[in-house]
Amino acid sequence: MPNLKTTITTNKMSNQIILICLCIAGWFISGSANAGATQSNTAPSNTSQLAQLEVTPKPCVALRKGQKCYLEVTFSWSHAQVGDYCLVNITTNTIMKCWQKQAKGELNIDFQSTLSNDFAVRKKDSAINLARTRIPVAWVYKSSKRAKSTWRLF
Amino acid sequence: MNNKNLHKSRIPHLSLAAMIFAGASVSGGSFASDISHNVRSGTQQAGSSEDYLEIGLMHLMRDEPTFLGKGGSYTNTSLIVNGSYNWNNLFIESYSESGHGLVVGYNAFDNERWSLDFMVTTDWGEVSFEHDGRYFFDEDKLMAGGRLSGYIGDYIVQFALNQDATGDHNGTTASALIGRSWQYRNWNFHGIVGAEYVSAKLNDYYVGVSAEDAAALNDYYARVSAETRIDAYEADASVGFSSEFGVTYPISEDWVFRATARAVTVPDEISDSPYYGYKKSVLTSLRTSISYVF
Repeated sequence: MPNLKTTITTNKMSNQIILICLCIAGWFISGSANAGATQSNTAPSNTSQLAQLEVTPKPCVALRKGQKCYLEVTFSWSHAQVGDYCLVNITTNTIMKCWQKQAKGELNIDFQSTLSNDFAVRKKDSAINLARTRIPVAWVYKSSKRAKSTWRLF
Repeated sequence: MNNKNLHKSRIPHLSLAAMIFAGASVSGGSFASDISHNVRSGTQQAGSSEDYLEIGLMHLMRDEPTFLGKGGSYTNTSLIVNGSYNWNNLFIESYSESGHGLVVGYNAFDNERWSLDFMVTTDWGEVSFEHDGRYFFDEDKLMAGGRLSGYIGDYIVQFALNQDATGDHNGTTASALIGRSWQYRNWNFHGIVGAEYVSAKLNDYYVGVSAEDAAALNDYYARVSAETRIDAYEADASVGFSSEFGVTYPISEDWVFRATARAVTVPDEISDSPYYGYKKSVLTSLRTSISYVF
């Protein structure tokens, strides 16, 4: 009987381990599916490695949260293949500049924003981001707002 | 020379408008701390509060009326600590650009436009001298009072009333300030003008000379063969004006640069005191600082 109990207990443990493994595997599969969904606008890794996009300097720093930040920046992009490419502001969904039959390019802009902006290089007329970069907007003072209220003393 | 016949009240005849136009006004510096910080950082709403701490180095240059035996200009480089902490409407703040020392208070009311604080503060020490043009004393006095701040369009106004809380002189001050800021790219410029009333009790406590003190001082000067003679003096109430123009620039997310120029009138009720050897009617100062914000 003790041996039978041990066998039953062992079997129960094995089942639990299998169940946990299945859950972990399912979680990973689910995570991979989500990752695939969020990366749907990004080129496959072997393609994206062909493209590079940098912006200097960064970040853009304003004094107080909510203030517009100003920064003169230079974008530099390159691609292993000559083609028609565009630099796009993903945050505002606007095309900043397009180049024809080029493998690299530069663009100077006067960045002005209250928020961090994401940028990407795309093939012309494509929604796939070949390379991405970001201009983060930071603040020195991050003020908070007191809760509104009426007279508290009375 | 100064004597009791000159002790009548001589409120400056310059109007506030004229002083603003001349760019040489305001005092009220004793209450400028909160408004100066808010104006500098471009705060647009009443009740905007923040918890922060910063440490920096400040270089100060000022030209001033001084007590007997001292020069008329002063430069100094010192460590500054600015900070604010708010908890359940209680707050503690220290801002070196203001005329205050430490401020401890309670926010009794605030909405989008107005905010009312009750507070106690030390602001009569050396730190406030270039802000209010009053007196150069190392001695701090505890004051209790309130300040009402209003945020009207691009402008911030602040009215304050303070009373001596120590019982040493029972003096009173009342001030009104108005300020605004302008942003040019990441540079934040600001200007503040205002006026401050100081009661006779407070003025007399610091720059008044009793007959007994005058006699004792003259006796001392006679013994050391000095030609200086002191008359008794009773200071009256005064009104002073001041103006401030400054710029704040965020060097990085953690470092801030500030520069501020101030001009403050020194009321006759103060500068007529026989204690003052180098008399001026306007005190000017220039401060620059670099601070690390935690």
